[in-house]
Amino acid sequence: MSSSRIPWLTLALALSGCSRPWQDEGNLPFTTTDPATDFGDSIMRVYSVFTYVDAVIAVIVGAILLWTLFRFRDDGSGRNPEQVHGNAAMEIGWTLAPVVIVVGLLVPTVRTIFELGDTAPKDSLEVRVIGKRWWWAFEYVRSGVKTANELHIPAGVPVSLILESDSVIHSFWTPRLGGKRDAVPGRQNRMWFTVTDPIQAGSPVMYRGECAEYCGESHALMRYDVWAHETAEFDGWLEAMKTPVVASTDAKVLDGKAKFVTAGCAGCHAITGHDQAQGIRGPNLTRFGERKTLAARTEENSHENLVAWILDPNKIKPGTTMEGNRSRGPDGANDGMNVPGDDPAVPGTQVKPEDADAIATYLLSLK
Amino acid sequence: MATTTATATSTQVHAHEEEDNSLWSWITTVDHKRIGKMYFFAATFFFFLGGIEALFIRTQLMFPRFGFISAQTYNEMFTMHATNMIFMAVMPMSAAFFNYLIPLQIGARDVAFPRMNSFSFWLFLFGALFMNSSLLLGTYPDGGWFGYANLTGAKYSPGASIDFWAVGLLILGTSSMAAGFNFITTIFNLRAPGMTMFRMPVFTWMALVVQFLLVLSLPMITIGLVLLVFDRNYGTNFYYPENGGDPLLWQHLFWLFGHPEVYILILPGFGLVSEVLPTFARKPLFGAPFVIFSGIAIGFIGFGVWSHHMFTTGLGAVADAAFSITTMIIAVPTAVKIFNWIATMWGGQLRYTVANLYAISLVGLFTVGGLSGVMHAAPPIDLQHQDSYFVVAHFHYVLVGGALMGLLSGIYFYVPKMFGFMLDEKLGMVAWFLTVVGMNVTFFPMHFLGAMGMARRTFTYDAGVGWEMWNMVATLGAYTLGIGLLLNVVNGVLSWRRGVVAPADPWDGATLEWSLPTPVPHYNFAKIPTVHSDRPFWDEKHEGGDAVSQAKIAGPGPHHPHMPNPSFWPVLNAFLQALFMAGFLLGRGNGQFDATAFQHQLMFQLPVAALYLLSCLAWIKEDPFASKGAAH
Repeated sequence: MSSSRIPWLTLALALSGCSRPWQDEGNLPFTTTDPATDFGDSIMRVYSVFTYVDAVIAVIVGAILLWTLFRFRDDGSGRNPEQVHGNAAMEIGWTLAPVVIVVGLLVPTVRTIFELGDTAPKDSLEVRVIGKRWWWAFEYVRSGVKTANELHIPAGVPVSLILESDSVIHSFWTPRLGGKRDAVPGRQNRMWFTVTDPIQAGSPVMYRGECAEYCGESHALMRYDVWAHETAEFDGWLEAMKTPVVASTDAKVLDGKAKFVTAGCAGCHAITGHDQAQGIRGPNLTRFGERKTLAARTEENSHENLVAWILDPNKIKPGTTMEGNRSRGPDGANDGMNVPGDDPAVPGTQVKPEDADAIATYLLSLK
Repeated sequence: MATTTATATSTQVHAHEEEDNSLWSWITTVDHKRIGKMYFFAATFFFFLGGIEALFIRTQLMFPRFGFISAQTYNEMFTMHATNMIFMAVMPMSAAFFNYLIPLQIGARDVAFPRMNSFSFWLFLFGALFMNSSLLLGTYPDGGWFGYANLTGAKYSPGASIDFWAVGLLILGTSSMAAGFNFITTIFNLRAPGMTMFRMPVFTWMALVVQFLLVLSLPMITIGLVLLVFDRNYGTNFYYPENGGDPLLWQHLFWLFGHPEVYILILPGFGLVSEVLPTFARKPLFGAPFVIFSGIAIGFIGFGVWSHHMFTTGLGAVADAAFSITTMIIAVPTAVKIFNWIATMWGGQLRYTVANLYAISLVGLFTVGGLSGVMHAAPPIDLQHQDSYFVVAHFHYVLVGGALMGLLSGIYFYVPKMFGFMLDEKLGMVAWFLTVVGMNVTFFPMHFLGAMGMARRTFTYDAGVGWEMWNMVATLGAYTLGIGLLLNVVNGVLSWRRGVVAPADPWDGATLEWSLPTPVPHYNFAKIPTVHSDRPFWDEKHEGGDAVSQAKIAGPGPHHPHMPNPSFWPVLNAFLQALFMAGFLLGRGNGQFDATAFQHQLMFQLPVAALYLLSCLAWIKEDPFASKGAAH
C-alpha cells in the first residue's frame, strides 16, 4: 500500500510518536484508505477533501482555544474583566464562515452521490450476493454458477452486485473495493465497481470483506474474500465451476462422498458433480477444495479444521445453523438457533468422527 | 443524605424547617430538589453499570480471538452498555439538573406539577430496574440499542430479551414524556416577575429545547416499539418482509427519534457549560442570544436529518443528497456555540477549577467529535465509515467528550449548592486528568481502527490485520477512563465525609440559584424576586444594582410559603403503570397470537389496570395543600 494514500494517518501517528504497524502490505487488508476500484477512488477523493479541511479547522480552533486558555488565565488581580456581552458582526462572521465551508464541502459530496447513483453498464458481470446467517452466497446471474464466501471477479471489467438477504439485514463491506451496501430482506440493493488495480495472470489479488450490520450472535464471523483475477483467468475459473471435478478413485474419497449423503450433509449443501447433493439451505460446496478458508473465513481450510467444524460447528461459530453433532430442541427439530431448552442429550445429525474424517477428505479433494 | 451535614451553615433556615430524612419522606417527596437528587444517585448507579459493561466489551477486544466472554454475552454487553448509558445514565443525570435547577434559575418554588414530577422519577426507576432485571433472568437484551427489525423480530430473537427491552423503553418513554410536559409548563408559566424568556439562564433555555425534543420525538419510538411488540407477540407483520412488512420502517421510526435523541443527550451539557464557562471567566456568556438561537436551530434541524443513519440502506441519490445537506447544515449552529464559548473566555479572568476544566474539555473534545461527524455526513464517506469503529470514535467524542464532560462540569459546579459541601479540588484535578486522558486514549485510536476497516459490534477479530495494537491501546485507555470516573465518585464520598461546608455562592455566580442560602430552603424563595437582567445576582453584587438582594430573596418572609404536601400516590401510580406494562411479557406469542398467553396477560393486566385507575382517582381527589396537623 502506498503510504501517500493515508497522509493524515501518517501525520497523526507521527504526532503521537507511534510506529506504523500496517506499513507491511499484508497487514492492512481491510483498509478504507487504499481503494482498488473506481468506486473506492470516488469515495477517497471526497474523504481526502474532508480530512484536510477538518484537520485545518481542528488546528485553528485548537490553537485559538489553547491560546485563550493561556493568555487569559486569572492574573490574581481580583478585578473583573470588561463585561463584553457580544458582538453582532463577529456572530455574523462566524455563522457565515461555517456556512461557506459546508457549501464548499457539499459540492464534491453531492456530485459524488449522483455519480455513484448511476446504473451499472450493460456489459457488467452481474452477481447476486445473498446475506445469510452467517455467510454469503454468490450466484453468477448469466452463467448460473453458485459459490459461497469466496467471490471471484475479473479485474478491469465492471462488476455489478445485486444485494439481497434471506434473513435479517446484513451489510456487504469490502473496504478496499469501496463502500458498503446493506443487504435488506425483501429488497434488492445494487453496487457496482471496476477493479482498477493492475492484476497479472497467475497472481490474483484477494480483498477481504466482512458483514457490517449487526445480524445476530456470530455477526463477527460473517466474513468473506473477494478474489480479483486477470480477465481470461476469471473466465477459466467460471468455466471450471460449471464442470464437475474429475471423479477420484481413492476409496476414502468415495467413502466420504457416500457419507456426505448418509450423514445428512447433502440435505443442505449442493455440489456440482454430486447428484445426490442438491441442498440449498447451506453454502454450495462446488470445488470446495480450492477454498482457502471455511465457515465464512473463520478458520483456515485444512483437513483438521474441517473435521473439527463438521463435528462441532457451534463451537467454532456460535449459533450457526449447521447441525454437525449439535443437539436439537425438545421437539427434535433443529431450529438453527440457540434456544433455551435445547436438550444436549437429544442428538442431532449423527456424524461420527470417522465419518467426518472421510467427508473432509472428500470435500478437500474437490478441486 | 448529604444535605443534613450542612444544615448548620445557613442561619436563614426556619427552626421547624428541620428536614425529615426518613425513607418514607424521600419516597413520597414532591420537592423538585429531592427528586433531582434521587435522579442524581440513580443515574450514577446506572452509569457505573453501563461502565462495567463497557469494560467487558473492551476486555474481550483486548486480544484477537480472546475468549473472555462468549459472543452472546458480548452482544448483550454492547446492547445494554448503550441502552443503560443513554436512557438510564445520561438522560436521568440531565433530569437531575432539570429538576434541581430549573425552578431555582427561573425564580420558582417548585415545578408546575410537583406530584407528576415524583411520578416521572419513580416510573423511570421502575422501568430501568425492570429492563435490567432481565440480567438476573438470563434474558438480557441482545438486539443492539438500535434494535433493528427484523433481527429483533420473533423469528430471530425468540425468548423474552427483546420484550424486556421494548417494554422497558416504553416505560422509560412515558416517564420522559411526563417530565417533558412538566418542565415546559414550568418554564412557560412559573418564571419570576421580570424573568423574560431572554433573561432566562442558558441552561434553562437548553433544557426547554430538550423538553420539546423529548415530547416530539418519543412518540416516534413509541409507535415503533408498539409495532415491534405487536409483531413479536400478536401476529402482526409491520416489519417482517416475508409477509410484506418492511424492516426499514423500523429504521425510519427509530432514527426519527434517535437523532433528536442525540441532541437530547448533548444539549443539557451545552447548557451546563454555558453557565460554568462565563462564571469562571467572570464575564457574561458571549452572544447569549446566538447561543440560545443556535440551540433552538439544532433542535429544529435535528428532526430533519434522521436518514443519515441510513445512507447504506439504498435510499437513492436524491434522498442521500437531501439528508447530507441538512446534516451538514447542523454543523453551523454547533460551530456558533463553540465560537461563542471561546469568545466568552477571551478577555476573561480564567479560574481553572475542576468544573471549568471539564467545561473546557467539552469545548475541545466536542469539536473533534463534530468534525468527524461532518465527515460521515457525506454519504460517499459514510459508505466506508458506517458501522465501523470510526463512527464509534465519533459518537463517543460527542457523548463522552460532550455530554459526559458537560454533566461532570455541572456536577462539580452544583454539588456545593445541591449537597452543601465542597468537592475536593486536588483529587478532582487528578480525576479530571485521568478521565480526559483515558477518554482520548480509548476513543482516538478507534478512528484508526475504523479507517483500517474494523466493523462495530464484532465480538472478536483476527490477528494480523493491523488491529491488535490499537485495540490494546483502547482497552488500556478504557481502564484509565474507568479509574478516572471512579475517582470522581471517591472524591464525592471523601469530600462529603470531610464536610467542607459550601458557602451559598462559592463561585461568584450570576444567576438566581446562587442568591439562595445553602441548603436551599424547602420553598426555595421566601419571596419571589423581581428580575431586571439576565444576570440578576451578578448585577446586584458587582454593578451595585438593587434588583434582588440576597436577603430579599432568601430572608424568611412573614408567612411560611405554602408548599404541596408529600404524596404517596405518584409512586404507587408509577409502580402500577410499570406493573401493567410488565404484563405484556405474559402475552408473548413468539410471532403468533397466542390466545392462552393473551388470556394470562389480561388476567394479570386487568386487575392492575383497575388498581391503577383507583390510584389515579385517589391522586385526583387528594388535596395537595391540605393541612396535615403536625407535619408542616
